[in-house]
Amino acid sequence: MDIMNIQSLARRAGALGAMALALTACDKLLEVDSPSRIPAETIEDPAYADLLVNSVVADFECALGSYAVLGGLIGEELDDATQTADRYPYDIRNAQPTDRRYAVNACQDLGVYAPLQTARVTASNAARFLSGWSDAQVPDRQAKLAIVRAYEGYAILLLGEGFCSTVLSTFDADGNPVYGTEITPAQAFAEAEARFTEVIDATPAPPDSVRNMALVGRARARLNQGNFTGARADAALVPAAYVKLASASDDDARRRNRAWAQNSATSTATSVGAPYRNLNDPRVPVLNTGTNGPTGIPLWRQLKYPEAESPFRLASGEEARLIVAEAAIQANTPADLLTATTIINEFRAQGNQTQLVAPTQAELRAALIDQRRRELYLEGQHLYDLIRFNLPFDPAVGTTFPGGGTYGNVRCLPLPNTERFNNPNLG
Amino acid sequence: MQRSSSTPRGAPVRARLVRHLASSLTIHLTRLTALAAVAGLAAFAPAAARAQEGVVAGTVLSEGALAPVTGAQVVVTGTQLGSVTDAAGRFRLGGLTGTQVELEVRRIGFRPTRAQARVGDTELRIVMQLRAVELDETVITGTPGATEKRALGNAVSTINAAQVTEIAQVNSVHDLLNGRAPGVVVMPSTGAVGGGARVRVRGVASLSLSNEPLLYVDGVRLNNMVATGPESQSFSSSPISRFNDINPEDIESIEILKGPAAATLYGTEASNGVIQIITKRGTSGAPRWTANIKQGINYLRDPEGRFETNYQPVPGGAIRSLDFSGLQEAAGYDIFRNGHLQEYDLGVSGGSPLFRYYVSGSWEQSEGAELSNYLRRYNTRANFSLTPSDRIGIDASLGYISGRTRLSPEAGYGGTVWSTVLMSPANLNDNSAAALAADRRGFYTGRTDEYNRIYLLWQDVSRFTASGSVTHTPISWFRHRLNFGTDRTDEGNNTWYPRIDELVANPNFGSEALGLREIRDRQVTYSTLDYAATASFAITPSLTSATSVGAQYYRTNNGFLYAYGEVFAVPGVSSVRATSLNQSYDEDLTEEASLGTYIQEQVGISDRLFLTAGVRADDHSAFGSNFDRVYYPKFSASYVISEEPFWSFPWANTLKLRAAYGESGKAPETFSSVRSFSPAIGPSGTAAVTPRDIGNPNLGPERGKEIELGFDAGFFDERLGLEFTWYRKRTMDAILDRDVPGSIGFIGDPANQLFARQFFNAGEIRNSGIELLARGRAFERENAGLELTFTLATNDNEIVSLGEEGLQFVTAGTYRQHRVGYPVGSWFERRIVSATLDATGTATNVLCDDGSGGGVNCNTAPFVYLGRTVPKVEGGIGATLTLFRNLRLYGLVDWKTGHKKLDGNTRVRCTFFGGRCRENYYPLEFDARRVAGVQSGPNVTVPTIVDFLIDEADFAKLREVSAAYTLPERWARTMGASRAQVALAGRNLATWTKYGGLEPEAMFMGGTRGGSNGAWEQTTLPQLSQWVFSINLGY
Repeated sequence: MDIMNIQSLARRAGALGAMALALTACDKLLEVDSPSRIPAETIEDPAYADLLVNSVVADFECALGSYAVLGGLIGEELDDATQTADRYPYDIRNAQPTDRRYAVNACQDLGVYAPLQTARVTASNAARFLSGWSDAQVPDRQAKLAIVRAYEGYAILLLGEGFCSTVLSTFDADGNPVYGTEITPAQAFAEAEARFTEVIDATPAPPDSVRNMALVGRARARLNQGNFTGARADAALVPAAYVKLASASDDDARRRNRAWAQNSATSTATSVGAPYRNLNDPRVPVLNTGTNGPTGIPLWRQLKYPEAESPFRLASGEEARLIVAEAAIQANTPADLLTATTIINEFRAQGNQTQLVAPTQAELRAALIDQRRRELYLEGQHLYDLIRFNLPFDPAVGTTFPGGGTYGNVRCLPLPNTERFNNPNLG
Repeated sequence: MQRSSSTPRGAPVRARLVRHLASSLTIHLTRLTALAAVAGLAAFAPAAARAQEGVVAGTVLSEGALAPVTGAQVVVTGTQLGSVTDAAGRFRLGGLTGTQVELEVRRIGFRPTRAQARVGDTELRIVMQLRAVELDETVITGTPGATEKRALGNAVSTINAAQVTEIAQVNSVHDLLNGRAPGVVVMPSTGAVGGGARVRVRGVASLSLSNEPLLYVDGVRLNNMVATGPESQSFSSSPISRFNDINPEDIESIEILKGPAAATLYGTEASNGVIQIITKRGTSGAPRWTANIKQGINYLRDPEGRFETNYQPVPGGAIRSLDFSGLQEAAGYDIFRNGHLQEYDLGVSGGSPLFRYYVSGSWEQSEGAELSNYLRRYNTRANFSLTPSDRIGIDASLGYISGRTRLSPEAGYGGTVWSTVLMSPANLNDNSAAALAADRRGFYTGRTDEYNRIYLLWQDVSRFTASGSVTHTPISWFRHRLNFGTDRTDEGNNTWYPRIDELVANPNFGSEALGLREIRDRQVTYSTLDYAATASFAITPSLTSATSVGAQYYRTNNGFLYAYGEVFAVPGVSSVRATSLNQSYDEDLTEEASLGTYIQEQVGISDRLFLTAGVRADDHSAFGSNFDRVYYPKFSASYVISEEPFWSFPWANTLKLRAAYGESGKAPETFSSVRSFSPAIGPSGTAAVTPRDIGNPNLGPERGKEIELGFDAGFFDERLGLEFTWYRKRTMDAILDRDVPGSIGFIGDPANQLFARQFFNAGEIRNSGIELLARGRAFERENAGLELTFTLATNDNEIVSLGEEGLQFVTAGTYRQHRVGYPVGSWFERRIVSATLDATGTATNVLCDDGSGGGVNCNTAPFVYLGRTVPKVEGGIGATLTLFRNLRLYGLVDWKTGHKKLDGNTRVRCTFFGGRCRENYYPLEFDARRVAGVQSGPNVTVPTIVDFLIDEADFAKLREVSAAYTLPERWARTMGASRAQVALAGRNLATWTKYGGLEPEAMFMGGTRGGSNGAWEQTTLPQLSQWVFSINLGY
């Protein structure tokens, strides 16, 4: 080792150090590619208004499919046929707030809370952007705004119907989260009603298809709140032939009809629930496959959604008529009961059922519930019918579950712990 | 800061094509290179032999027992001529000139020795003195060249891998690490062959990021991913670790830098420690061929004792039982097999002072205890050293591995262990006509042979590593070197359910028997560019200075291709294209890059006191846009006090005191700072997006700050050596990913098991503990010697803060919490403190812990701390007994204590899938609190409580035993060899534990029940036992 003076040493070391430190300024070296992620600021542009609207529809349609299946499992429209954790806790009716699957899974994996919230937030954000842009920037801006508000209303509606309580968080103008507080289903229905009202009262008026969608939605929200008169008024405005479909396609797993994915010729993940196997009703088409699942239950196949592309029905003139009938039954005047009887008998005829003659209010309500479960089979409606009509559990609580254990009494899904423990407004 | 660049249209397709071509070329070129290298060197070998002008050969022995010393480096002083001793301790040096040479002999654990030799002497005998503490041993610290241990202020654990593999049965790098380096905890996932493990160095330092240490091989950073492979366990867990691609037979030594104090120069990413693997290199001399043949078995020890007897009611109401023996009899075949293990290694090394080489190739096949589990791979390595002048040294390393790991389904996937743990008396064929029709033979769902037919899961791997190092010493006081290299891993993760028509009607499989194909291909490339320079001066005769600077650039590229389809039209086809339903495809790419520089000054005083100070600056692509570069300082001192003139303790030969403080970091996950959307398909095939990550623009790295104090000491004429370290490590700005409330709408990428999370810098974690390594020679006689090694490490882990005021805990997975004042990821659950059983065995009066020792209604009881998930204490004791010079008997026992696991086996048996436990039917035989737990659930008065399943997982294992005998030379000659060793080695031969599950070591590595600090064991295969016979020949 040479002996040299410290000054020389310091100079040389300093030069080397400076060279090395200069390298950290080479930002180019730290550039990385992100081909599959879209930065948020990219799409917050009027040029992407159509993209935002399509995104709202896509998020909602996937969430609806998952909700229909999970609600169907809880509500006996479907039975779990494999006994995996994906479906078992719901079919046995003991979903717990610790369970992450219904809380955080993707819609194609039967998550419901996160997908419905995503659909709601996507719509809420799109509405925020569309409201801030001008008609010159976005052609048909008002119509687009009406569409996303209508879907937002439906997302809130389903959160109210399926969950014991929920939270509606939003984003402020700067894109920062504004956490919501825990609200009751009734409060959620009121929020949904407000969204639908915004669509119905919009000027210029939205296209009829969107307005009818909002009318059915508001009628449903009002029904859930006990506002039968208001529900009936909205429902009466809906043309009998009206139908709003939630589309499905075989483009990818997210777009496929979820009921078909869980029960079809190529999927024995579920069986048709026992109350629906022998209705002999063309509205509930089923097939006995003649085989049993691992837990011993017979495997019945639903035929309502025969293909991956089969759409769900989101809103329709039929649903509106059933709402009218329900409100009429509630009104309980002879004229109203006659109106209800007429409507219900039309539905019964479709199901090869005998006609009711001078039924009582109670008989009509039972018949209405029966028609709703048939007409709206696997459309994400029956779970909340069970809740709001307080129908008996079938099978009864405590009955032995085919895969072991006993049936529980959890109908509405609890607010997941992932929300409760991570939302600063809860705890 | 986060940076991104747009990708031009068509670029992904071109990039895929280029990657594919590059991959193909790499494979072919690597194979050709390896073959050419072996062939070329074989041709070169005779020429090298002819070139010899003079020879010195002999044997290196250890003092006392005179046992052969293997792996010792024998170098002619002042030259590059050298050799390495073989299993018999023998060496041979050729190409010598003159009549006399001086030899330097070095070996970890021995005092460096010099010996004079007469050229032509082929019976030279060199005796090395064992040293329990060797301060002149060199280790890698990040600066150019190696650093002597005497100058280090921090502890570095060194594992002499070549010595271990010679005597013990070692299947993987994890096996090498386990029990040999205090503070390094290896936690396996499954006993399936090919399964890997997690490694924790000095505890858990991160809340949400990976806690795996960095991996370097020959100076180049390598892919250190764990939990790769097809999803064989469900719950998102895959058990294959990239650590284990490296053939232990190619490893010379492993050095472990344990934390920020030692790894500051490695910068961001190094706060979990650094594992440096140094592969074998050639020394000059005639070609030395080695051949190693192994034959053995893998088996599940004591299945009858491991699997609990199950109970179920059968028609008529009686309770029937079924144990493993009964199940096996009913099955009519062996549920577990004795898997055949075989391995063949061939290597050659040698060269000249100018050019040296080490080339090896191996092929191994190891069958697991489950019928479909196996590992097949071949591995080649070619290391070259070129010394064109005294001033330049060039090293190059090429490694290539290719193989297949076939996994059996486990855990939630079903499979052998699953269906056996849940064996069902009601499913015995003689139980009912329905049972006979289903032909389940007592298994819970499918029969194990059916599972193995239908669920085919495997990973194909092709991995190429190349590294180069150029060291230049232009003037005597200046040295610099450039390291560069790449590590390219191509994983093909495959799931295939062949169409099996006769199983379609089987309700256990149903539509899955129509077929399914899933391919998850990953291409991971790590690139390293590392420049470092050191200027060394003697400022005065007793004062030295070494100034080092360096710059490192690392880049990681992770490509992903996915294809999926269901339902084959006919049996016999297997591609995604042949499926007719639910086809889907995906492609993704992620990148990250880091750039860092450092400067370090080390001052030496009288070669006894060393003071070091340095600082490193790092920038990283994953830092948030509001966050700039980070600086990490380091200071250390080392004082070899025993070399002071005043030292007058003859019983303490060596004592080095050391102290170090250093910082390093851990970068956030790629893109975790950016708010982003994922592309999606909208109605009618339109373009759409969906929210993905909420992002955090303020995100910066975790910062690890560590202080360690310790000493290295040798006592009683180096018969006993102690290395002791106390450390205290704090992780500041610990990155926490908390679940994002669903109401925010950003849900991650759940379809790929990436759930909604937001990373943020929150809180502080403290780790502290001690590490002790003791090596000693218990006795030594001429024909007998006993060496003992003892390791002990403790770790105390605590979350000091979670950052936000008032935030006391966040969930860390099912039944786990990060809670202030407790270890990271601890178990928290309601705890039943009292209960009574009525006459029917129903638990009543059930009370739970109220958090302060009292009892309270369980429905309102708080979740209380039940234990940590990572061992608090771990250690090992190893012994090597050498008899009559050539016979060595070896054993290693290791243990881990102070942690708990969730016994998911008992969970599914007793609660989840109905009653199969004795507690379900004879509750009066059991503790009332346990029965209350078994009977708890959503439909009874006591909610589901699993405290009785969170069980102490302390254990000790007889990990390794072996007997190795070096055959007399004349016997070796009968085999045409110059030396030969035979060995019989066993692994995992006994376990002592009170843990109630199948295996205290098993757990999920990923998913909601795994992750960084998961400890959930459920129907995974226990660690297998092994017996292996090996023959090692040298030529």
